[in-house]
Amino acid sequence: MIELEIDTYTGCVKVLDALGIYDVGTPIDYNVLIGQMEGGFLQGIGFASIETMVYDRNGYIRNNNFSDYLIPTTLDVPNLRVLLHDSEYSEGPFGAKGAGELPLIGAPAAYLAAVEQALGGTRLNHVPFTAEDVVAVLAKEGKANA
Amino acid sequence: MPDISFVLNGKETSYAGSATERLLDVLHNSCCVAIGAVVGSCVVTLEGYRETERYAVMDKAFADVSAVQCGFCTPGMILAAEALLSKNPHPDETEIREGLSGNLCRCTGYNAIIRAVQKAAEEGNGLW
Ligand code: FES
Repeated sequence: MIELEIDTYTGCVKVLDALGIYDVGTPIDYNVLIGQMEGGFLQGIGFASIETMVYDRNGYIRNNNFSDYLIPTTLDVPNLRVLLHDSEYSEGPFGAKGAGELPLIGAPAAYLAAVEQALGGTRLNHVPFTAEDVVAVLAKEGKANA
Repeated sequence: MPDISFVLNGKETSYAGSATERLLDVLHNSCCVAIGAVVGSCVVTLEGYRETERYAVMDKAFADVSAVQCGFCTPGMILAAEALLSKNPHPDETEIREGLSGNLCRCTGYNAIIRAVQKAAEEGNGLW
């Protein structure tokens, strides 16, 4: 679940709250698992909002360092929270499930759904959905504050 | 002048902040400082910092809250935390977030690292 605020002048999106709940089977190392979930969740929000990869005609990635491939910093999502649905999974070792990719999957959808709602319901269907994309939607609908 | 040993070479670009050292109480990206610029100054890298009491507190705090996932960012995070705490021994959450904002972490989502710094500040009360 992601709650956000959009500046209709700049298109900048501020994430106010982010809550992820994950079914992980039985946690083996609780702290590490929470770290994994929080990290993946933030990564998902990054993929959904700012992480644009640019390729040239030969398929080379053009933004090959962190000055033009931006990822979230400490300041981007300060209210990120994670809860676990802890139940024994009979197929896994010690009742555990794989937890690596899990937090990444739902985050972009949650982010985009929140942006969609904030922009008044226009269907949005790609990520990353950057500030420029937000402004494009606002301009198209004549809602931009500019 | 103490030995200089670089934590990591941040691929000559240093955007991730992993290659960090403290120079004259200021946090620097070691791969962006020319060797001639540090003649006569006091350089502390993680290797030297490891010998200190403050490091022991920091180390324990990072371990206790599992603030390390892959560990790539950890050297830089620890030195950034040291630089922050030596300026402000009791930072609030926002101040910690600002203090570490130049260092990227891909794994933890930062919450655990923030908690580790809070814990180090509490437990190392008086050291900074
Ligand atoms: S723990 Fe992997 S980058 Fe921070």
